Amino acid sequence: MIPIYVPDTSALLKRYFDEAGSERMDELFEEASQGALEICLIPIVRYEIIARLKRVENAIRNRSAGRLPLLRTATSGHAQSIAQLRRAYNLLALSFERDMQACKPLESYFQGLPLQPHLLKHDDRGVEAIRKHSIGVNDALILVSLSELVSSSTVIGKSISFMCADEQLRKAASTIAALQIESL
Amino acid sequence: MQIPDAMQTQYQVVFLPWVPFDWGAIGSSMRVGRVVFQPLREFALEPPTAQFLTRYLERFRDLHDRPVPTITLCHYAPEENGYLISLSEQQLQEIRDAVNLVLFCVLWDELCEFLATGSRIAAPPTTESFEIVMQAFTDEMLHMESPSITLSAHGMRYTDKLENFRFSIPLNAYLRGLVRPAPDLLHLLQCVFDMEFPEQLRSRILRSLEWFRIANQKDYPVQTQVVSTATALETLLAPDENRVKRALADAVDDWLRKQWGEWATEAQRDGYSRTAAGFWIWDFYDLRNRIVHGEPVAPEEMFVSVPVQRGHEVGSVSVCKADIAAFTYGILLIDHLAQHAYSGGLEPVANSETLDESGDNFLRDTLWKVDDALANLGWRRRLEDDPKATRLYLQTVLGELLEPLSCESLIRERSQERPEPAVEDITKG
Repeated sequence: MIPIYVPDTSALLKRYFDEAGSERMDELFEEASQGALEICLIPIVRYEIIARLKRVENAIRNRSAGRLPLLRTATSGHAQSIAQLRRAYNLLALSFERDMQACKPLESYFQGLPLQPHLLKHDDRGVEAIRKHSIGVNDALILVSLSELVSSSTVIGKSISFMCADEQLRKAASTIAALQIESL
Repeated sequence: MQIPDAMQTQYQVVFLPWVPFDWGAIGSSMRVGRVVFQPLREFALEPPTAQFLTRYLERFRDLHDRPVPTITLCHYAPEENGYLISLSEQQLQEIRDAVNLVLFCVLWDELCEFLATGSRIAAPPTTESFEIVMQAFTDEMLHMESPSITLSAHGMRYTDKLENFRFSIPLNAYLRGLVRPAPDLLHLLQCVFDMEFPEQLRSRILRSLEWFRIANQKDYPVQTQVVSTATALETLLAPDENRVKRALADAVDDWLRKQWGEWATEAQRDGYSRTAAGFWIWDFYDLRNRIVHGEPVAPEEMFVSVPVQRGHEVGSVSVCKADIAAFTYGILLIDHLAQHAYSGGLEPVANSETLDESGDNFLRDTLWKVDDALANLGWRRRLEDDPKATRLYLQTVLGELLEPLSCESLIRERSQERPEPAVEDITKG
């Protein structure tokens, strides 16, 4: 049985920002490319990352439009050119796109099943999670997605691990039966 | 459309007969400086002029003797001068310069694509495609049943009935798909025609573009392409004549180190340090010197095998050294122009929602190709396959701009979205 790993935004971001847990995420993607495991992508995680990439993009645009001063590198002290910023963003966007292609979207685990998208219905699990764990809206949507995944008949017998660097969300997710939690 | 006063009987049409511009993608016309390029089908005229022009332009034929559908008219500042006026030599030169600039945007963009991907979707465009034709005619000729035209070539004039002429497409201009000047490149290069652009630099750039045009004339032997491309580089950089080779290599070193820093590929030779690209251009200029000074040069010395990554596989393509030098010429040219543009000379194309649609981040498409080509040539480290190196690069270049991608930033913002814990929860601790 191929195990399924579900990264939270806090885990997936480590692919693009070097910090504790980055190398573990690299290993995960390397193993996925060899078919040893699957990485399931929750839509809300993708949205959160895209929103953050957009902030980086806008910051570059503000500098290129002269609304903010150009950056200086820590090593040389030279101002980065717009082309350099642009190039770095291209590389960032490329890395993200490649990672997205390496993941399996959540809905692929429901193919052939009568799935009712959880975003379109009032889900008491989300309400309960917010009340019980004092979490935010995105957190609740991630928890509902995880709950749906572990209850899908297509994943029976498979190990499902939620990878998360956010302690509060991790704590809330630990209440979902049959879900393993990996701290980063 | 406005045509010259009826009393003025001398007209002139300037056009590109052979360039298969993709007008569907470009739009109804394209402006470069004061020159407007317009497909013939978009040009509406009064009947006598239209009839004459149609008869004349139908004499331009493809290899199957069919009238070509690729006629592109070149108007000089039509909003001030109207259309089909007789132009001065200086105005004609501006048209030639604008054509050279468009030619560069088309040829160099495709060259980058080729060096980046190792493949071409169509035969590469050539200088021959961009032949400029100028033809004078008079008001009187418009009303003749069988007008004659006069051609000027090699200092001679030749007059004959229009229907006796047939102008055939050069073989090197044929057999390819549609072309479109890379919009981001065209937008950047246009600044050379800005009023405030430094005159000396403009003159150097336009002369170097003329050499680029000559270098891409496929009728010429490869040796001529090598020498012409080297001349384009020299004209652009205007080095001290006693240290041309060193100046070219230094310019390439400076550019690559500025753009890629520690990720540029460095090399050592005879105790000297340069980037791999700097040594390459050094050797290229040696090759140029050997050709110019009459030393024997084997045909295989003109080509080099370039490894090309396609997905996870690595193949290789044979590339003429003149093409790699032309690629280098392009990046240095762009660098010269970008310095002007960064200093406030370049206006955004339009408001747009993403970086990819915006004019303020010119080179949106070109950068990808340049960077891939640099990696294939071995002139920079390939970061794309090394996530840790990619992160290090991103954090070095983007610095604080990358902060939204940090885990700390995410968790901090998530905390703000979460309900504050109740007092009893806090006391429970």
